[in-house]
Amino acid sequence: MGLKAPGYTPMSPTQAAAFVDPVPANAAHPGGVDAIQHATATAGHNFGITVGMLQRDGETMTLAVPVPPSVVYMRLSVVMQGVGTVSIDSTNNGAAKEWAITGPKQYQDFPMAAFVLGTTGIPGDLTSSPLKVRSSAAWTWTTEVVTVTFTSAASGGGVIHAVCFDPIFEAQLV
Amino acid sequence: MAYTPIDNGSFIPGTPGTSTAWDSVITNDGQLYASKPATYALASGTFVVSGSSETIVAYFGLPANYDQQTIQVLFGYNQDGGTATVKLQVTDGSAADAGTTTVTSAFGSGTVSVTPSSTSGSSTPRYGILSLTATAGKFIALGSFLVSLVPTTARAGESPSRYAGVSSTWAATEAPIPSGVVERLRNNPFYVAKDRPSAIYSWLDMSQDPRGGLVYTTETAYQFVVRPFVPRCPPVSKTYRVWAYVERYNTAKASIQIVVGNNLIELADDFGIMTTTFVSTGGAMNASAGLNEIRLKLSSGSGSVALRTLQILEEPS
Repeated sequence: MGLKAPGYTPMSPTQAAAFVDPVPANAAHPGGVDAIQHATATAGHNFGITVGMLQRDGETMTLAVPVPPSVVYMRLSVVMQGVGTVSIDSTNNGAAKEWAITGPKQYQDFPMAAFVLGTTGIPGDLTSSPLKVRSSAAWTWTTEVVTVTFTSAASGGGVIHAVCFDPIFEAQLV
Repeated sequence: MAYTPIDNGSFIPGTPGTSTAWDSVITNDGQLYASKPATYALASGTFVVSGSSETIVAYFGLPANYDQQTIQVLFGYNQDGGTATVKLQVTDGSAADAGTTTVTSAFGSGTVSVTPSSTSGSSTPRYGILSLTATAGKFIALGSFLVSLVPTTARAGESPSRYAGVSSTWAATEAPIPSGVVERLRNNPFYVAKDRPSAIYSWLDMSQDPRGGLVYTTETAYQFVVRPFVPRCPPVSKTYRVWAYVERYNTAKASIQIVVGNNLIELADDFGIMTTTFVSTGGAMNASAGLNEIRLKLSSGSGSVALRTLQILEEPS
């Protein structure tokens, strides 16, 4: 038993397979079916999701985030305006992901000045690493509780517009 | 049981039809159908109701699901009364199916589910209505909720989604494998995916007086209200649906502009459910994310318009 990489065959739009008898026996047939099934379970049809919000200073949100099979880490992107500290953590995470934005509030605290923050896509336990959403790899769909905290007590400005959860599909043991 | 990936190199020339590798493919086909969910909306915010009158707090689009799989809302809540009710309705605008859950703790999480039977899937998405009822003189508040499809085992024969299970006992030892079986197995995952499109973006605010809430306006010029973001989308050209719900005060109607990557989508001069589709590639969806916008304006009439829901969903195709 070894590692199996995620499948990237797009499952949408539909690509119906037409067979015409007689079909010569070929081991590629079951292999092809397996590849499509694996893509359905992994990267072929389990995209991330963005939760839109207008979360303000001092608010904490707790979210249930869907996690596809084989995914242990999810890349985060945070859209925010203004100044403040965003902290995102999960029940399986080591170091909380945190961004502290400082600066002159009067120039930044407008919706059109909203900007995107993010983690890397490289699994690990650094503050800049993606969010760990599962203790170890599994081939099941699950949900993970994620907490988003926004504080900007010193300056009192800032709004989170969105938090995006992008699954990072890795090869996992079969 | 669950989907169990098959080891690389399991299929080699000479693999007989009754081998365990073939059985695994057939088992996985059924397991994918029975376990692959869809996510329709993820809401963050406060949805609160006081008193013992049933009150609607949210609307959301529910596309496809021709196979009538169960729709579930997973929510976190707190309340200061002893008992509160969370109700989910799934409707096509006329007929409806409903389910309720009673919560009795001061705080925690719960689910409410509906398996549609009075309504059926069509190219026009059904929609969900979430309502809350608190104890008289008390409140219940939902802090966030996740709307998803929770699948069950496939019915016998062909489903409305065109999925049909495959028996693993079609042949005797060493007998040839019918090409129809291979075709079924190749197509089934596509049918499952097509019947279970997911949201890539969802923004929900509590239903309330349209002169209040997170996003409302009386302005007749477009107002920048929120900056959306979408996850990495597949590189192929795909159809997506924008599904919005707008509440109005007086005779007002709204127009909404959505800029996502290189796409500009407009929902013009209406209220209630406003929806349209657009075609894009992953590259175009994910371009210039820092410039994404949702804009809202009062397009005609008088009063106020409030954006309560905006989902970007995969369109079954």
